[in-house]
Amino acid sequence: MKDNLYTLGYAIAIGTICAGLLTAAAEFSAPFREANQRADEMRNILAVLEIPFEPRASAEELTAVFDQQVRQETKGAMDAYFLVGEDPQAKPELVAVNVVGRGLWGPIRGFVSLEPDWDTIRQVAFHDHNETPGLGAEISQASFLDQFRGKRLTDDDGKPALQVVASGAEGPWQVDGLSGATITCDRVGDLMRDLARKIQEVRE
Amino acid sequence: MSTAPLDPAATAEGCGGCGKGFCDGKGRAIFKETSWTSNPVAVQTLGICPALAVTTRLENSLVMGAAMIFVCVGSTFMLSLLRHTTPRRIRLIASVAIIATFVILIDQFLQAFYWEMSRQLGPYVGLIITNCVVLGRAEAFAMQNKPQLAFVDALAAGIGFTTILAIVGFFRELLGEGTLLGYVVLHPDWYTKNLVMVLAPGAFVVMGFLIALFNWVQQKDVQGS
Repeated sequence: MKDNLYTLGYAIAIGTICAGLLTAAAEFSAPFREANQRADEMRNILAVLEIPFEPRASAEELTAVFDQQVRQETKGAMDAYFLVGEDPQAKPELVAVNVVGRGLWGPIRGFVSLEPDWDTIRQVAFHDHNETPGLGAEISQASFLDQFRGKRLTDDDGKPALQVVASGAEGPWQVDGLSGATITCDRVGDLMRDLARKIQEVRE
Repeated sequence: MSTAPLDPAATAEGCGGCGKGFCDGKGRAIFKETSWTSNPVAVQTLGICPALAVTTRLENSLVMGAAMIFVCVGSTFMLSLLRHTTPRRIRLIASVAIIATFVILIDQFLQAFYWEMSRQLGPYVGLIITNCVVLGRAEAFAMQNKPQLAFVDALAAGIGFTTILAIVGFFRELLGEGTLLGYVVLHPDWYTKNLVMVLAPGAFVVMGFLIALFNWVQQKDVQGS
């Protein structure tokens, strides 16, 4: 009996001490973690909007640049980020939208910046994915992403048209895929066509 | 495969053979035994999972190793302190609770201050909780020995683990990406990156050679003495 009580008491004591420690640690680190997460997103939005920033900038510095130059709006199913620049009255010259889609192992999240026609792509960035390192994960490499510049989301009839093809990409609606990452590349194509549909919905 | 019991006669030369000091003269022998003779990864083949998963870059290997050293030293020291008061029936669950606490502490620390690194290591920092090296040292050593000795033993296990990870990370980053700690060593103009090294098979190959090397060297040691 005494033994059991001791065991129970010991378990409660260990549990309480560990839980207390972890709660304190989580409370302490929560603001830092949230800031990191937000900074990560902001870094990607600023990058696709081609706003220069210090690569090693802290979360506060990034927020300052972000708040000064970017205006955020919700457009249908998308978060839109307008590049407002120095003059808040001027028409935005570039808009970034968030994209999310299925990848091979998990969701792919990123941002795409578009010209004011909401169709021609300026830049693409994927900041969160679980693709195979060395193969599918290469979708976040500049060599792949740079191909998207100037490509168009829809064809002349307004249908989603952008494709990631195996090789020999031609014209404004095709980009070259990555060898060894066929499924990932197909999914990136899906994601782009899905974006085209979402933009259409907002337009209608 | 497991740690041989320490022979008091063989360990007397540690700490200058005085038999006193911080670790009762056993420190050096314990350190050599745990980090080299029965190295947790290369000899006991424990902790293989992170050794294969996070060693794509040298920096990742080193941070993972540092996290491992922190958890191993902290938790086994605590467990050794509590070894007489812990009820035997809940010994294992108490060990895991304490190990988990240290793991979550370091994980939160990385997430707060080394965000990029934390994202690259992914779930593997959290998985230290189930790492056989930590629980192995806790069960096999810390439960029977004084806190100072448990400290030395855990440090040795952590350093042994880190060294292996660093060696694997060194070769994988060098051959797979042509860089070391992010600096270009093998220039892409004349060096073709070897994708196999970045992927899992590369880790198995490097690890296989490393274990073979360990066996060979230690065999020679035994024959030579």
